[in-house]
Amino acid sequence: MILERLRVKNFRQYYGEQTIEFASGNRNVTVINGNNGAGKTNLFSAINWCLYGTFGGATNFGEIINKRALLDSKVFKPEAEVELKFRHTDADDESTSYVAFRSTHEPGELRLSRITRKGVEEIKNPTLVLNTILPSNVRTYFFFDGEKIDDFAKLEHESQVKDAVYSVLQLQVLERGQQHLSAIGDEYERDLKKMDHDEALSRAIDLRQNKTEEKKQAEIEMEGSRKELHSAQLVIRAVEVELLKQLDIKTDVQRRKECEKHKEDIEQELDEIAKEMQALGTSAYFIVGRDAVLKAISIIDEKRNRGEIPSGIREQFIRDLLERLTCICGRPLPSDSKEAELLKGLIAHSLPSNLENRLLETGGQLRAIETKISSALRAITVQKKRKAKLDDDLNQVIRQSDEISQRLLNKGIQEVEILESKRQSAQKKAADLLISIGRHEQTIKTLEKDIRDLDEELKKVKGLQGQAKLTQGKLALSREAAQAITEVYELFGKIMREKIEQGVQDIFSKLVWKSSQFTKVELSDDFHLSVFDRWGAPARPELSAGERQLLSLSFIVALSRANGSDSTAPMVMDTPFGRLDTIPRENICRQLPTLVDQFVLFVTGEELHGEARGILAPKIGKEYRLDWDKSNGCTEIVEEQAGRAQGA
Amino acid sequence: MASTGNRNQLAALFKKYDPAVQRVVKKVLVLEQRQIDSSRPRVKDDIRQAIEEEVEQ
Repeated sequence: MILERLRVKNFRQYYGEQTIEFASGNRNVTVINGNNGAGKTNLFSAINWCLYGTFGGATNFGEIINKRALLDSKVFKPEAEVELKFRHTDADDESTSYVAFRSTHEPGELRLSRITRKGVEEIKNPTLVLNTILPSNVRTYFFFDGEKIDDFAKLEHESQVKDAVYSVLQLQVLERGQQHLSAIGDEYERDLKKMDHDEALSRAIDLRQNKTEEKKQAEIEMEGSRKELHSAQLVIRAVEVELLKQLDIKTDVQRRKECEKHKEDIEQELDEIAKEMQALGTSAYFIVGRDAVLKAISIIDEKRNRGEIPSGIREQFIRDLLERLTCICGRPLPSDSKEAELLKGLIAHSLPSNLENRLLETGGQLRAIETKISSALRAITVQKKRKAKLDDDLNQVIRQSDEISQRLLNKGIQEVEILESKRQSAQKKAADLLISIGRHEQTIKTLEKDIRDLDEELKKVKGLQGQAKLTQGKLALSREAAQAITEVYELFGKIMREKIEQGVQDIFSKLVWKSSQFTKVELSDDFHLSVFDRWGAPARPELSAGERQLLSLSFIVALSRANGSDSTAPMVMDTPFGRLDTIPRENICRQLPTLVDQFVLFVTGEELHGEARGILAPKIGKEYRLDWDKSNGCTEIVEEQAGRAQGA
Repeated sequence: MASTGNRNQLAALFKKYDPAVQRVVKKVLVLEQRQIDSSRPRVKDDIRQAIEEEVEQ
């Protein structure tokens, strides 16, 4: 979606009809300058109201129709109108222009028209179409109040990160599709059971239903464990923040943080080694046959030494020499000579030619296998040594961490002892929960396999007739489609999570001025956003309000970019720089126009001035000033020369 | 509101499945997307129809 034009008529303080054209392309920034109360937020809200009939979060918005227009009108009540023209590239990569319109005459009704070569065509179900362009639940990630976006970075609002990823990246669509297909599959299953009373079929259906129930139960329990784990981790983090405040033990707490980070790194490396060893074990299964291979090579070598297998010389070649009575060096080879007798002896001992060929080939292949075995064994030895070293390091780190814990527990400061004891019990709980989650994951995996096997069984039940056979086909297709979505969901979710994580990390490091302090951003499997400091410790609780705003902004931009290199969502920000210092403000002006397709800023003169404005100026394609007239309380939208407004 | 890039990536991940499965999934995702703002989307009848059409073919 690329915004093209906004037209307001008698909307709030905008008297009469006024228009804004949005910039796109190389100079993709539109700046709307206005003092506090001049009408920036109202103009921003006009976009939301036009498309969705709400004011983007504000519940009590008051009168929409311009008061001057109301006073002017003697006979008919005037109406407020907002019209938004935008372009969108659809699923078939076709770019279409749309015009959305809403008025106070029918405030609950969105009118959406498509502009085609033939003219303007009104869309019958505008919301359905708008949902494929920018659904209501997604717009808040693209049209937002800059001062409120730090919500994403607040610990207590973690679920919002997950919701944002789900909504923007179609994960919600996939999830719903999977759920509906599964429910429809269950209906077909019940129908089938009623239609045909085949014993094997009934047994498979019952078993599948039981397994599905078991799986649901395991999923609920696992989710519970995950939530508990998350709470335990929050407790650990909070306790650590408190411990860090105690000056007497700060060095110990800091050191333990480093130990914990080191421990995590070692564990990660050990996991990788385990995976590599497993891969070696699976691909190098021939290692178990090494003795047999060596024995086979020695038999072949022995036979060759005895002349029973010529070393790469074929029987036909010897026969040719005897026939020509000439050696390859040109010397005569009389048939009664010693050399000819030797050659005849070789032929007498030789094997049938195809067997001889096979033996020659086998010899070569066995040597190749032996080389492979030796290299695999060498790789395993290297990995074993690495693992032993890491195990030692891990034990050392755990010991150091335990020693620190003991010191803190016996420090003689009551508050420290209570906090440390709280930390220890939370850590133990977290460790137990991790084991429980692992167990549930395994159970779910096994049940999923059982269910897939039963689906296959149901698909193959023979002898069904008429309607039952048709239902069997529908059941199989619904199950296969649901399974396909489940698999793609997992894969796609993983790809997107990694993309967003990398994106947030890159963007945040470009925006924040203390980039050397915050060295890592992580988006966990269940979409929890974490920032780590240079010591590897979680740093989200310590972020300032401005830093939280930058983290949220980085997340939104990364999300928009993860949505595709050709992402077509505009970024519309109201009061984006209110809480930011000069450096991050300049960083945003430098980075954001290159990171998003269209950037619309509603700013006060104080927010965008000096160096920041200078940086942004070459990217500004359209610029407006909101002039509030104190004589009538109305605002006029005045176009200015782009990038040259006051303060430029 | 998946962009073209996102859509293509998603479509590519479904390529390995049976064409009938791909067609049903495509229809289901379009139906779900259209009603994504609804807390109780009415899509089941249309999904059933998509499956039935495919099986009858």
